[in-house]
Amino acid sequence: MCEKKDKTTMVQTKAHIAQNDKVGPGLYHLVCDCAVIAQRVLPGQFVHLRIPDDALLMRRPLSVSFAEEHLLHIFYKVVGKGSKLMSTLHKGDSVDVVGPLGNSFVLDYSCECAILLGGGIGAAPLIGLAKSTAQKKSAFVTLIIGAQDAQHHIFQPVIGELSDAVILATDDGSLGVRGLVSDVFFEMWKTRRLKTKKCAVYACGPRGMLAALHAFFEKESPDAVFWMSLEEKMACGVGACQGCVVPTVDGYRRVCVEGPIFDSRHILWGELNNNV
Amino acid sequence: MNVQVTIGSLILPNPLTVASGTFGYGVEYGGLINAGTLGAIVTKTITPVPRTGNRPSRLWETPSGLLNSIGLENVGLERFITEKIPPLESYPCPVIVSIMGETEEGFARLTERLDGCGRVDGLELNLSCPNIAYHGGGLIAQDPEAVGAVVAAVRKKTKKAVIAKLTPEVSDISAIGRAAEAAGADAIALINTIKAMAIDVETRRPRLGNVTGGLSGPAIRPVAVRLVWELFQAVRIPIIGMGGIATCEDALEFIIAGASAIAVGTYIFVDPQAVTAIPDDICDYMKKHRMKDIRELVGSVQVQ
Repeated sequence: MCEKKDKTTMVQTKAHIAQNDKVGPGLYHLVCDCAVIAQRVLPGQFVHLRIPDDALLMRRPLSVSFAEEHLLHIFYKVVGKGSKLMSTLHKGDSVDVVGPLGNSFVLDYSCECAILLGGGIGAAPLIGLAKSTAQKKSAFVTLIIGAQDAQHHIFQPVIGELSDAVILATDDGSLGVRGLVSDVFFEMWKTRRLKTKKCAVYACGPRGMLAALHAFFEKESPDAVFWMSLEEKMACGVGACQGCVVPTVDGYRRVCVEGPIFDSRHILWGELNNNV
Repeated sequence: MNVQVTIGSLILPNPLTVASGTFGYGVEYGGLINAGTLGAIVTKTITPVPRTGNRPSRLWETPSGLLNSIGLENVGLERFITEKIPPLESYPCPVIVSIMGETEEGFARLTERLDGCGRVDGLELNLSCPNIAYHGGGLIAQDPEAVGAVVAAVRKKTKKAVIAKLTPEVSDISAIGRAAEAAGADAIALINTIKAMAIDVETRRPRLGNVTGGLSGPAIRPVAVRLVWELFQAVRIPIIGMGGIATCEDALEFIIAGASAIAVGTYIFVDPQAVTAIPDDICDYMKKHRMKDIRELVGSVQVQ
């Protein structure tokens, strides 16, 4: 399920960087001291962070992995100039942040189980979603995190008490189960007979992974609910500019407001742009 | 100190407005922007019928700029009136509605309906969106006769402030500006975005789904300042200057070049809080330079 958040709660504020550590090849763990956003952010929501550079104007939308008291935990991958500059920020530096933005993941407790599928850096928001339920109903959630190899598995230090519920997978078998997240899930679908259970699936990762999962559900279990987080280039982040739209059965919808969490059945996959 | 700006029948409490398309329908920024600090807002362009907009990707960042091709996605006139105007009823500043009718008749029809809406204080005619192909592929704002005809058609239907929004992509902005003025426009908004393109060299495909888009942001600012300065020498009606304004200093540059009011667009995406400081910063500048009325500044550039 996903939930709309009251827009009046978003703020623009300065946040001190508590940590910006390299945790894998081109992968960083950013921690911002930002109580006003940390106290209200929900799993799956994002913040819009200003890159401290005059030539790179646009804010970067970054999924919040989880919040801990006054701290916002964010994981990002260096892919271009903006993220490269972000990686040069140091502890104590100040950044301008707008958030929390977007809708959020909401676990459906009417289901028998919840499967959370995170591909690469996309696993970040699912950590927060899994943590949100850890104390209450730990057996309810299974989180499968995939990465290309052991070096790219960066979430173990923050998984903590969730570890029993987590399955790690690598493309090359260097850590955990060998295979793609989607393949591990398909196997589990068979062995745990998930088709006969009422289970909800939540995913975030590369478009190819989400498309494979959508195709699987369409064929195997058209009634299954599959919530996923999408990314697009953004300008305003608040629903004003109509820049970050994705094609849905109801027309174009803004990733920043109607998303980033979408029901996969609402997306027009054939028209979805893959150059994100 | 007087920083009020008069545009036709409309009085703006200060010269800061927002560029159409960057401020949605006026409510999206919620608490991020204190609307009480604005001289006026300009809502996203509406058309007689809803438009779905252009194919994504719609955005691409360039150095100090932003390329967009939204394609005037909007809810259309009727839904605008029933859904988007009511939340603006208690808005603390004038509301200017941007409209695009494609033809004279389309503009006239939009004007007729909006003239009856109390909360609509003025109309901005979008004659210059680079992401929409008009008759023969050009823009209305590239043809002085077409500009005159559309402005005249709108003028017949309303006494509210009418602003013609023009394109920078003309060889002689004076001729276009004079055509708008002669047809009864109360002001000219200048500039719209500049048609532009970016290519992914790996895939050799355009970065935007619509191939080309409109360039905005500080990258285009000097072009905009030059056009405002040229137009100021050709018309007597006020100019609302825009194009890459980020700071008070940028705003002053436009005012000194000849703009009576200014609009911030792309920079609202970047730093909504900072934008709202511009009116106070203009007052500080006027104090420092011992000015009592902002009109002393308008077009005061010393070229000799």
